[in-house]
Amino acid sequence: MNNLLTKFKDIYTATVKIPDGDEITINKLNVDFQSSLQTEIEDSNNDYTAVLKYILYVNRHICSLHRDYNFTYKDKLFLIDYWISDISSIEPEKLNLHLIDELKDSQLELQLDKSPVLINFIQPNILQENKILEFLLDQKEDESGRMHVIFFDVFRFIHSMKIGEQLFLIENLSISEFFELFKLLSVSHLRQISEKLTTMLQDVGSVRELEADITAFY
Amino acid sequence: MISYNDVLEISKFYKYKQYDKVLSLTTKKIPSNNVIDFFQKCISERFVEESDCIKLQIDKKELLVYKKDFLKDLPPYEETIYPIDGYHITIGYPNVDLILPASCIKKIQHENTILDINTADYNNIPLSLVKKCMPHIKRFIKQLNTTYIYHVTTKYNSRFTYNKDIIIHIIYLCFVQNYTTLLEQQLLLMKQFNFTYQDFNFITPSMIADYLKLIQKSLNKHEQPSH
Repeated sequence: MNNLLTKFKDIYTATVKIPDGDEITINKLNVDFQSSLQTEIEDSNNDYTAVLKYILYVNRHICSLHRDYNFTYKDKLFLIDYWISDISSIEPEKLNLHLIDELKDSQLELQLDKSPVLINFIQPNILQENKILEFLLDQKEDESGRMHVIFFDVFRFIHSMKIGEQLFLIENLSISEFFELFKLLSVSHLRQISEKLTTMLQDVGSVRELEADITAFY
Repeated sequence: MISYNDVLEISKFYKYKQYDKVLSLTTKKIPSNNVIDFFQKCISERFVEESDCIKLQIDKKELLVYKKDFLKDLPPYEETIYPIDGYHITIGYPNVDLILPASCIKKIQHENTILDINTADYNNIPLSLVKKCMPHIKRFIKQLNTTYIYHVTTKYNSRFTYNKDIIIHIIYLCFVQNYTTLLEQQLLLMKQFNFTYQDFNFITPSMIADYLKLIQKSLNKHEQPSH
């Protein structure tokens, strides 16, 4: 192998401490990452499908770093910020990721046909995200769209929903049952959940945008 | 050389919307160092005779695009060496087999070590280095994008943009023909005139068109009533 290629391989690995785990060795991103990403999303029928495929691609790349560890949402935002900063040759910003921990103590109350709905939140993990993404990408292409992206972005943060006296623990539901629950909610309900999350995660809003920006790594 | 069988295969892939295969087969049959080299070779393959042209249907009329109007203002190939991040990086026009900005990077030199980049090597180039090259890469892409796919008149022209879809469109204009007609012609020549399938690997579509003209001429002669 050419000495320069060896040099690239050597200097473009790094050891980082991820927020919810230990130190891990990661490869900095190279053209292969970009090229495979392009192949992954180029046949998407619409922009929304492309976004879901992009998120799944990045998630799978993160999972491949450490197969026996379930990366959390905090880990994911940390790594995205690390990579983007590295590509742009800037120091990673100090992310206030602790506010993601506060999700588990927060609730939102809605009204659904005069029944109160109490929603509890949680920090998502990547394996759970991937299950939702794979489910959505497995739906008929013509049905995918904006609502699928909203479903993904909102419901990965939900731990439970109490509708009237009935408690639905999301981890006990299949994704399709979970999706049926989602369909019960109106646009106004979704907006309220989305606004709650946006407000709570405001300090990491810029990295959250990169998380769904298919041009972020170009 | 793009043979009759190649055109048949490319046309079949295009008919069945297997566009990636259209691109990969064409770039395999027309090896090139960069997009400009590739287009120049496409032009040479497509426009053999002075009278050769691409026929387009525009505004319910037929627009004829001759060699002089096709891929007009394609810049001549050039490359420049830039000192970037401790390396001497040679940047030029991009490739057609890796349609990414990184393919503008042709060579990286660090002290006495030189890396002449081939397709497989691109994958190992760090994105942080590509990002530092971007201002120079953009200059080449911008210049490339001043090309026209065709420019017949100020009204009838189409601009080029460096992306996969446009490159596949150019391949379509150059090489895609009616798949069924191609098959029928091939069958006729094999059945009636002892061509083998392998023969079509060594004959261009233009030569086949010449054969078919001669056959037609001969048939017409025989059909004429004797005096």
